Amino acid sequence: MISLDELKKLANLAKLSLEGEDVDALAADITSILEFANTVSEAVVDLPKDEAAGAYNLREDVVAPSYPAEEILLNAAEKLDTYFVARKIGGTGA
Amino acid sequence: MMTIKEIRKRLDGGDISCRELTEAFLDAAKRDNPALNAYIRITEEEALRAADAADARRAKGEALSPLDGVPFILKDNINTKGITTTCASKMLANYVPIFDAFIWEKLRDSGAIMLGKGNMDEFAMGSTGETSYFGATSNPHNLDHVAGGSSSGPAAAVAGGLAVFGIGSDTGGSVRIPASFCGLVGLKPTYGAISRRGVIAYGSSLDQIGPIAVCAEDAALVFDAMCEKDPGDMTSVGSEPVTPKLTGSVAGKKIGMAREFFEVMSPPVREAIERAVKLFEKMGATIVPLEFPMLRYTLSTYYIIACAEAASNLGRFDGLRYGYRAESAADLDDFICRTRTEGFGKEVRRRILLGTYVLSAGYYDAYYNKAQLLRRAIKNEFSEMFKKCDLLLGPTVATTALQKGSGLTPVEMYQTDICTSSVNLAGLPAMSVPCGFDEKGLPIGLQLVGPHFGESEILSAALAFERETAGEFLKSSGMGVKL
Repeated sequence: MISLDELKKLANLAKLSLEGEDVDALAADITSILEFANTVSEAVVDLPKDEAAGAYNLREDVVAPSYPAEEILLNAAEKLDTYFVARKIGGTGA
Repeated sequence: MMTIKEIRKRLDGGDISCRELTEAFLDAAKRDNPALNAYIRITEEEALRAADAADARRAKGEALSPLDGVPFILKDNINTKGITTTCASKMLANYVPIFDAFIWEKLRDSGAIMLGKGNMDEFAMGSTGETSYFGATSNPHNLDHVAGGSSSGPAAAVAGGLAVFGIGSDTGGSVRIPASFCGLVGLKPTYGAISRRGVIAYGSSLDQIGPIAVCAEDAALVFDAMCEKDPGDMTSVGSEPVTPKLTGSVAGKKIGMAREFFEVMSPPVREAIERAVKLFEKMGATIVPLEFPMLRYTLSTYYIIACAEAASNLGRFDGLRYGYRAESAADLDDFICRTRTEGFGKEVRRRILLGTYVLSAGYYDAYYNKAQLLRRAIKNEFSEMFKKCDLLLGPTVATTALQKGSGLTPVEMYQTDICTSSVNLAGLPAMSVPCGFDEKGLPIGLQLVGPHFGESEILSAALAFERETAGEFLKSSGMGVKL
């Protein structure tokens, strides 16, 4: 069973909050999903480890016109001129 | 339900104008959608404008393509400029894209009429169509049952007579499962055949776009409208049109059947598949018994890879530039955590947690790297099978549509993808074709899998099966448009 400490650490890595969450039920769900996922450990495969998954069509990295800033900002809840407004890093308040 | 060919005949013959046709579908959608919940949004104004343009073209004898004037539904994870695209999530409930997805451009340019945006599992994460922020989709054949996911809305709309065809996305079965549950054809093309530019990503190495339609010929026509190579998706290689290659014959073909698929089927599904096998033999195909030992690892491999990619893809949703935004927060980190926790539903949060776990230091090798290795082994087993046969046949889903609110645990729910997800891991084309009904009258689907870019092979086999069974498995739900 995944411990509460591990679950907190995991949520922090995933940028999710556990506030208001039924932590016991979530831990039970995650534990059973991990047990299910762990069936991969039983498999014995004899293959080179780093075979490429597939080829990509890479294009030249050429500077080209993009969307106007006004359009990019259309879905922003808070903006200032042509900037997104974010919350303060650390401390309290917006 | 009407096929594209039937609709085109009515339009070309002048029996009905595209405006009248579109109005009939819109009226039906407004009447029946409250029961089905297939559409998240009906785009009436845009549809009527496009219909008038189609009528004007037809009057001048300038119809653009076989899809010109044909009404369809687009899954709501496909970006439509100026039209809200929600991904069935609170996170994007008010998101209005500033650009169009490549496939929406192609369909619009072919003259097809978009009636609205289709309901789905949130961020395409689900197999039943029940995780949508906007509520579950019902199965038109029995409203107490699920439509299947994640492309639940497109499948329910087509089976419910509220659209002629639908566009879905398939990461582990999301086109084929709802097609199977709703008695329709669902095609998951080869990875790379259709561009995903502008499709909101779930598992990028697995995602592929595909049509949900009434018959194989319709699926082929829709595939052809979308299969152009797109430099905007680095995995796009495009495909030749398949319609000219459809033979409608399986004579002389070798159809492989892996024993392992038969061990997971429920009795009615097994009966229907065995009957279908006999029909394929009657049509001149040879059945080749095969073994697929890696099948037992496909689900865990699939969920590890899909969730790892989801955790990464969904990292962009932080409430800063677009999407849902938490009201109160102590600082930036708290703001992002609250935004994501409040904006994502339970299943999405679970998959992000799993994906984060398998990518974290200490577990990366045991889970993610091992899954990548298994993925290669699964692909190799498919290659070995295709040395012995032209295509593979099995069930799409081991059961028929589940009852809504069946209360399955997450792991039980994941089992729905047992027959479909291996195909995404290998990047192969596959389709679901209706082949029977259970004792409740719920549809059963068979799955045909082809080698890479073998779309015409599986569509030809599906067409042969449809002709042999003379529409026996195409059942009207009694809902929707009456023309």
